Amino acid sequence: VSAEAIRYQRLPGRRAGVIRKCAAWLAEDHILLVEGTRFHEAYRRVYLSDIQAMIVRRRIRVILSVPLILILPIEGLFIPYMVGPTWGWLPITALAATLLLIIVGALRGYFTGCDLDLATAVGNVRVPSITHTSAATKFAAMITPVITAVQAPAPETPAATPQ
Amino acid sequence: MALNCPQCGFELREAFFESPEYKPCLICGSELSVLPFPACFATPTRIAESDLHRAEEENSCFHHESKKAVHACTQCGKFLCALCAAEVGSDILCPACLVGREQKRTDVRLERERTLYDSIALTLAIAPALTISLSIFGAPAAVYVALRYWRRPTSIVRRSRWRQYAALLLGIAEILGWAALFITLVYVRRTVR
Repeated sequence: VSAEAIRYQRLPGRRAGVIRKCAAWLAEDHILLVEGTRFHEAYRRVYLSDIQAMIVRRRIRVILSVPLILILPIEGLFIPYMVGPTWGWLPITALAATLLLIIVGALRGYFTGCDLDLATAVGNVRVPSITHTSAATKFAAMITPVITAVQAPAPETPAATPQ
Repeated sequence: MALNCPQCGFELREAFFESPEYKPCLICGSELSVLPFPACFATPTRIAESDLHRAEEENSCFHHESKKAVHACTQCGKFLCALCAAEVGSDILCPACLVGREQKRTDVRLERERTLYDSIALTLAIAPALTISLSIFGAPAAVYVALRYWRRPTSIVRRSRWRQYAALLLGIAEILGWAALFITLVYVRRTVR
């Protein structure tokens, strides 16, 4: 079976750092959990028929956005020119906005952080791309109808009517 | 129906299945919300005793002579018992064919990892170019990686191969840039003499 034969649909929730990244994808009969770096991906499949439950655990997680933190010193370089006629208050505004975004991101993780596990008969499988309850809710809304349809009992064949 | 707390591993009580509201785990106190699916309440299917033991007139499993054959391998046709048959999509495979498919990477459903050579090539084309001088090594390396692994599949979930094309074009452009620079330097030096 070639990769083209399986159509994947991206599921809510994504973590993409400077080096590490992870995501979840939905196929016809399984959920593909992709975890790895920019140059290597490791796959884990959870078949829809095996999923017994979805367990969300609230937890405090402070997630700092590395790209935003990396932008800070670059923005800082422009501060000496902030009172100049060319740049005006733009650099200091950009710096403040970046700091605000970092703080909001961290606070969001503090108040709405969570872990999501898919429970199967042999144990729980963590979905690494889900870090917030909002993403978990969207994830659940997307996979619940698909799993329910897959796990629904097959309709019984009608008994042959006697002639 | 036995679900465990993701934090402490303790079995969750019935109250968790009644509503998806957050409730604390009895042992670790973690706040959990459980959304059960129909498989949670289904009785597990067990292999029937009659499918394991072979009667005198029945075919036996290729690997277990005492066990009754209930499937044939889709790939090699060996008779298999209920324990040896591995279901991969619509195929039933024997253990040897399963391992063979996984090693030969002929079935995407069995792949567990992939190296993204297109991303490596693109990084080799872009990252050294930021320092300008290092691109003299990065550009040929990017072109080599892009061409050497041209036929290798990229990510399972990513269809586009634009990274490979971009790496090749950038690498060639950088090499041409360096060549133009050297030719110009040689020409200028000769003109000065």
